[in-house]
Amino acid sequence: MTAVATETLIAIEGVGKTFPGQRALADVSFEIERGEIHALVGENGSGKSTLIKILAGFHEPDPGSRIAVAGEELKALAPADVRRLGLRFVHQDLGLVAELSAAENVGLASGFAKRGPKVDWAGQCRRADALLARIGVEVDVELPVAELRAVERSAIAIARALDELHGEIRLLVLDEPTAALPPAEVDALFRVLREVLEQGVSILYVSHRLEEILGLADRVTVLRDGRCKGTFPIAGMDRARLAELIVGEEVEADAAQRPPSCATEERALTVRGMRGAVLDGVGFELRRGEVLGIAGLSGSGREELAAVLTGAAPGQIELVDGDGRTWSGMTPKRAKQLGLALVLANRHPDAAIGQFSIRENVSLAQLPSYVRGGRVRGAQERGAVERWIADLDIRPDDPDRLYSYLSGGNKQKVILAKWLNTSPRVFVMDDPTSGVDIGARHGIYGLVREQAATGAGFVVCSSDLEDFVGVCDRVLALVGGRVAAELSGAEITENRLLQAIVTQTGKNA
Amino acid sequence: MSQNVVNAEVPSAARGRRAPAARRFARGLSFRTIGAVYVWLLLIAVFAIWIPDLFLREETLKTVLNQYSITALAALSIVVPLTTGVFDLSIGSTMGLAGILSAWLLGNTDLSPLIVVLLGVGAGALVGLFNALIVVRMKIDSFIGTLATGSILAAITLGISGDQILTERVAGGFSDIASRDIGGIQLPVLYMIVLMIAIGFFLEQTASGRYCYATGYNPEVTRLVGVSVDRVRTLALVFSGCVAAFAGVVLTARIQAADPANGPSYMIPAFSAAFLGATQFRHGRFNPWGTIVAVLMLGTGSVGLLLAGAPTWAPQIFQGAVLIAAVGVTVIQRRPKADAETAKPAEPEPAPSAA
Repeated sequence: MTAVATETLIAIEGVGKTFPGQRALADVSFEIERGEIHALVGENGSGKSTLIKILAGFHEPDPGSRIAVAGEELKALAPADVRRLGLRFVHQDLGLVAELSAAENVGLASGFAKRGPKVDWAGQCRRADALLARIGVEVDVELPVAELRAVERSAIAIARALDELHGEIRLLVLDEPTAALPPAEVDALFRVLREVLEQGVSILYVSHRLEEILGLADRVTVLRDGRCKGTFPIAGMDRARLAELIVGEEVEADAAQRPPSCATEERALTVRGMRGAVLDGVGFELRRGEVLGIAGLSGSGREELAAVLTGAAPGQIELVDGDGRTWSGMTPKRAKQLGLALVLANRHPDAAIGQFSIRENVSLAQLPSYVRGGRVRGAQERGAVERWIADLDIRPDDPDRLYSYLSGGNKQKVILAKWLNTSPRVFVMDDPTSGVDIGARHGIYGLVREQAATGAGFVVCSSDLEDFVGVCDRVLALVGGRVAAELSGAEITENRLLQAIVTQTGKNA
Repeated sequence: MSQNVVNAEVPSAARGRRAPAARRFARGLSFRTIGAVYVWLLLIAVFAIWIPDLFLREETLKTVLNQYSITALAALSIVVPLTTGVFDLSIGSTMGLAGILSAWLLGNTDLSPLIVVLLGVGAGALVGLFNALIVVRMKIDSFIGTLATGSILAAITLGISGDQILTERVAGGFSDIASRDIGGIQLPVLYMIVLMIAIGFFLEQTASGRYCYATGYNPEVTRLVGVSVDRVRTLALVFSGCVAAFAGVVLTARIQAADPANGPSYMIPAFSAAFLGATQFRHGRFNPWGTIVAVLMLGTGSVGLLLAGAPTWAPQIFQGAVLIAAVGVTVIQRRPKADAETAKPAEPEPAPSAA
């Protein structure tokens, strides 16, 4: 506790969190003051989410961690304590039921206004109206929230969190509140947040968008690799400085360690005019043996690119394959014929089948090649799968083990094996290293380089900047559905990438 | 990663650790895997002690097989759509329609019995296509969609029959398809065995069968490997339509009369058997082997109860209770095991946010 203890709302001291085999947080200390907007920034895997989950009472911190709320020391936070102490959380997905109205969504969280045994709908609507009015928002509380603007849904989630039915609200934690907002609506959200501040509630604001933080927050705490890199006043901070704090000083060796590019002069494919929900005319050329990265914040079109490119999601695309044939539109079937393999993140629900064994998952995309006389030949299928298990060191090495029982890294290897097994010309990867440990990460990089050396092209879409530094020859930075910058070779550093993807956010409608 | 091939713990690729044969054998015989078989054996033991004179006879075995072979055909018809994640609740009505249609054709045309059987099955194929139009093309939930088509089919059946029981020309050569017997075992038992093996081969040995399971578990994964999920489901519905229709035709031949009220009563036992069967042998996957064991187990219990002098409504209570008990025991048994196995790779969940 510092001398200004009366002003400190939450004191976090020496908080750590160790998961089996991984230290997510170590010795994190900072304070959130009353009436401030406190930003929390850090790369993926820096420990932000873990910290928030500790505050929410979802994870128990390591022994020795100290958290005090308004002077009250807490050994372990349970969700009930969290509520009692006035901490409220609004997550990125908002937690609203889309088909229900604002009035109903409010009721779901904190109970319905009742008249006898029956819900008093008029009263319930008045309550929702009043909650929204407190933060200066007026919406039709009887309309299904799906029919409202994105920022109105955010406002409903915030208003609902601030319902003081269960006591005074002290801190509102917002996790990536603008990730799903159209840029034009970001300012409206900020107005709401200022209203929240007026209510005497502090805000912990988690975001990747440096511009927003610079424009909105009073102070910022930076996490890197699970450690706190300090808390800084926003006054006097600029984007370059903040970016450097987040990614750390670029190690010169990092870029030098990258193996030499094996890109050839031959074209693997050319893509033009990709359009989708967010993508707005993205095009690029990929050469055989080249590893092309696609960077971007959420909402930039980065999440969509892999799916549109392989026909998994609807969208427009014109594609010229390695043989010079032009195709317009894409379906999974055509992608397979062209040798385009969509390698999804292991946490993606459509990456693999949990109820299938390793064997069935690995062979699924290549089953017809094991068929002789109408039967899938077990020995051949098994032989192929066992080779991949050995090659990729999948553990356990039992082909009949159910996929859902594997660890994240091993799941990712099974997904990779499924597509490696089809000998694709181009691998389209979506977040290939999310949820895998450091060893598996380097294993995946090694595999990408190895396949690239044999002439396969790679499109690596990732939310993790380390992936680009680690494995890409060239990176396209997407902003607002368009290519905003292109970096190649030694230019690919986390700092430059971060600056490229946060450029102009919020201004490019 | 391929440098890891020379990993001390995994000396050889070919070793790909399969559970030792003895353990696999033990696992294959465990209650968890074949609980219904043990319940079946227990039932036989109970009746053998309770009513040895009535129960321990060749007749009993024949009665169970002959009487329950049509239930078995009905149950087998839905196994394939269920693997693809589609409910076909119209099979009972399809049975009724095909049964009435075949009797009507016999009574009103000169077509030979074989042609009549083929037309009946053909009608089932059309029903399947119609179901596919609703479930696959119009994307109406199969539970609702096939419930609706079932209702329409029942009405058509009633219309064709004029709410009469049709019997003309049904006895004669036509009824041979159901009543000819080989050593006391009637033809429908043979159909059941052939169909069970055929479906088992299809689901477990062919690529299309694997795609059926994949479609049921995760249609999107299946679509992304280039398989037409819509085609898989369409064919599954056509298959269930054909088999259900065949079951209906055989039912008409067997009782030598077509009653429009007959088919629908088979739907619930069929689903009971298919779901109970899914808990057997293949750990949660719908499969024909478990389905047939389930039918025989339910049949044995019902026939045994009737032999013991229980009232006619007793078998239905028995069937419902056994279904709950068997599936319940399997669920409870499986729970701690699954927890123990999933507990191992507990990984921290890194930031779900992006960039």
